[in-house]
Amino acid sequence: MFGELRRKIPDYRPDKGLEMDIPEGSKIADLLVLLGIPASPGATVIMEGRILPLEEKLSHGSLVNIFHVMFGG
Amino acid sequence: MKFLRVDMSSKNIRSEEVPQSYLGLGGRSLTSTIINTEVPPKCDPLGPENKLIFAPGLLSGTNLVNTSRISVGAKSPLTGTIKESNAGGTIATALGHLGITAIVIDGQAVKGEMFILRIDEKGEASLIPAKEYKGMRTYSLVDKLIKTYGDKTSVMCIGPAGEYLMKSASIQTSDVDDHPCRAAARGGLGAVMGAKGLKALVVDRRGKSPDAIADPEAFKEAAKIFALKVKENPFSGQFLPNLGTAGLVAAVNSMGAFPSYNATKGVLPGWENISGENLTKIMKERGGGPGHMGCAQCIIRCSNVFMDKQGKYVTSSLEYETIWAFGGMTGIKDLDTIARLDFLCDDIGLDTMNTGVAIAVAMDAGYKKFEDGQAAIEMLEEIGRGTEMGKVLGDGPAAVGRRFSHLRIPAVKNQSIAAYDPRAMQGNGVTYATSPMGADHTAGNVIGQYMARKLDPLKPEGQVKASRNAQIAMAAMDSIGLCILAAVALEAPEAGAAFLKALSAKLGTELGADAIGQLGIRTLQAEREFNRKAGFTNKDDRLPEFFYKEALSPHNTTFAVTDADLDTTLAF
Repeated sequence: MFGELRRKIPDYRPDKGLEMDIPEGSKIADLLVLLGIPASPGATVIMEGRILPLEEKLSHGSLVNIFHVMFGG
Repeated sequence: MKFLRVDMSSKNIRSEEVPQSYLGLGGRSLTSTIINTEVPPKCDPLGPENKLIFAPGLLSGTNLVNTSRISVGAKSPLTGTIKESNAGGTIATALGHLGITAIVIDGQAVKGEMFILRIDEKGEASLIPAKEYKGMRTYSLVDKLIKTYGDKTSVMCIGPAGEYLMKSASIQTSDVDDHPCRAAARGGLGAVMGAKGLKALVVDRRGKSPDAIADPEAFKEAAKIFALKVKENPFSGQFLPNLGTAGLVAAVNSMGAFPSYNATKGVLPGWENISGENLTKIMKERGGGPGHMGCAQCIIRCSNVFMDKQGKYVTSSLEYETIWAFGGMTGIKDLDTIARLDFLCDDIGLDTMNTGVAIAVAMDAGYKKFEDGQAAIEMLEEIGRGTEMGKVLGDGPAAVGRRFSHLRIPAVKNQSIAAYDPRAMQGNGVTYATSPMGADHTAGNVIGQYMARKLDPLKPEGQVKASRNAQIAMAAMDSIGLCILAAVALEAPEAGAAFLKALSAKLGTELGADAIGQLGIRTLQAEREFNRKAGFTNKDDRLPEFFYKEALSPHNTTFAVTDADLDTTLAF
C-alpha cells in the first residue's frame, strides 16, 4: 500500500507489505472492501504493471500494489 | 484592468486600458492571443520583435483558493513555437491586487545592459539599471532585492542561464518564503528575458486596486463551496499535503511508465529510494517536510522543504518531475543528490526537466556514466559557469544529442518529455506530440484517466480523445489561473458548478456550461495558428523515432497511435 492508504493499517511495514487471506474467487472490489477503501474513486490496484479492473479475480499468491487515484503533477 | 507595455529599446513604459479584443482573457489565453496577434511568427525569438508577456490568471488576485498562477508567454527559442509557461508563487496574486492584466515586454536593451522592472504598491512601473545584479544567481539576487525593496515584494527573475541565452533557461519566481524555487521553466523563456535585458520583475505585494468583482456576494458563496470541495477531494485534500507530487514515483513505476536510464527502461530498479514515501520520511526526520505552503492562496500545501543531514536548507518544492529527470533518467537514486541538483537548477535558472534529460542524453552517449551523481553536479556547475560544454548542456537534450551524434533524444520540438513514457501511457504521448508547446505533460496529462480505470494506458484506442479533452481543459485552467492540482476537485459536479459560478460572478456574465471548454479551444486555436504561420505542419507533431521502434520494458510496447489519428487531436 502506498501514500496515505498505509495509515489504514496500524503498524504497516512498507518493506514487508501486508499478507491477507481472502475467500477463494475474491475480486479486486472485494479486496478493497476488506481493506475499507471505497471503490470509486478510492484506489487503483496494480499487478505486474497492469491496472486491474474491479471485477478481476485474484488468485492464490497474487502480489498487488494499491495506490490512491492520482493525477498529474 | 490595464496593460503595462514596456519597450526595452526606448525604455518607455506605457499604461493602457485593456484593448477591446483582449477583454475576457487572462493567463495563457491572453499571452497566446497577444503573441498570435502582435508577434511576427518568423521572428528571431531572441530578437527585439519577440514579446515577453506576464499575465496572471483571470481569477488571480481574488479570494478563490489556489489561483496564484502566472502565465509567461513568448515565441520560444527552444521549440520555435508559441510558448506559455506558468508558475505559482506569489506574484500572480500581487499583480491581481494591482489590477494589472498583463505586462508586455517589447524591444531589446543594448547588449550587455540589464534592468529591473519595478512595480510599486500604486502600480507605478519603472526601469532601474541592474548592473550590480549582473551574473547573479537567483537565491542571492532575490535576497538582495528583498533587502532593497522590502519584505512585501514578489520577484520573477533569471539566473546566469538566462543571461547566457541558454535554451533551457527558466524564469524563477519567489514562493511565500521568498525562495526563488518556483519556475516558469519550460521553453527557454529565461533566455527571452535575458535577451530583452531584463534581470528581474519586482512587484510590491501591497496593492489595493484589484479589478472589481461584478457580483461579490455570489463570488464569495461559490468560492466557499469550491474551497470545501478541494479539501474534500482525497487527492488534493489528503494525498498531496502528505506526499506532494513525489507520490507519483511509486505509481508510475508500478505501471511500468517511468522513463529510466534515458528512456531505455520503464521501471527504475531501486525506485523505492526516491519515492514520495521515502522523501516524506527523510524530510520528517530532518525537519522541513511536506505540507509546505509554497503559493499564495494555497490550501493544498503540496510543496515541501528539503533539509540536509545537518538540518540545513537545501531546496523547496522538490517535485515529481524533477525527481524523475535527475533520478529516473540518470539512474541517480539518492534524494540528497537530487535535491542538490534541484537547488542548482533553481539557482542558475534552469528547467529541471530539460536539464535532467540533457544530462541523461550525455550519459547515454557515454560522456559520463549513468548513476554518477557527482558528474551530474559538475555538469550543472559547468552550465552555471557558461563553459563550452555547459552551453551545450544548457541548450537541452537535442543540443546534447547533436553534440554527440546520439539519436535517442526524448524530446518533441526540442523540448524534453516529462515523467511518463509515451510507450506505456500512450495518451501522454499524444499530448507530447500534438501540444502547440512541444513535449509538455501539464498541457494534457492523462494519468488520472488510467488510474481511475477509464482507459487502458497501453492501447492506442481512446488516447486521442483523452488527450484532446485534457489539452482543452488545461488551456482553460492555465487561462483562469487555477492550479492543476486544485483542478482535480472539478470532477465533483458541485465543485464544477461553483467554479463556473465564481468565474461568472467575476466577469459579470452568466457563463454556460461549455464556456470553459470554449476558452480552452479558442486558446489552442490561436496557438496552432501562430505555429502554422511560423512554418510548423502536422509532420512536426510526431514523437522521436525511437519511441516507435524501441520497445519499452516491462510491457514491451511501442508508441502505437497512428499519424492520421494524431492529426485529428486538435483539428477543431
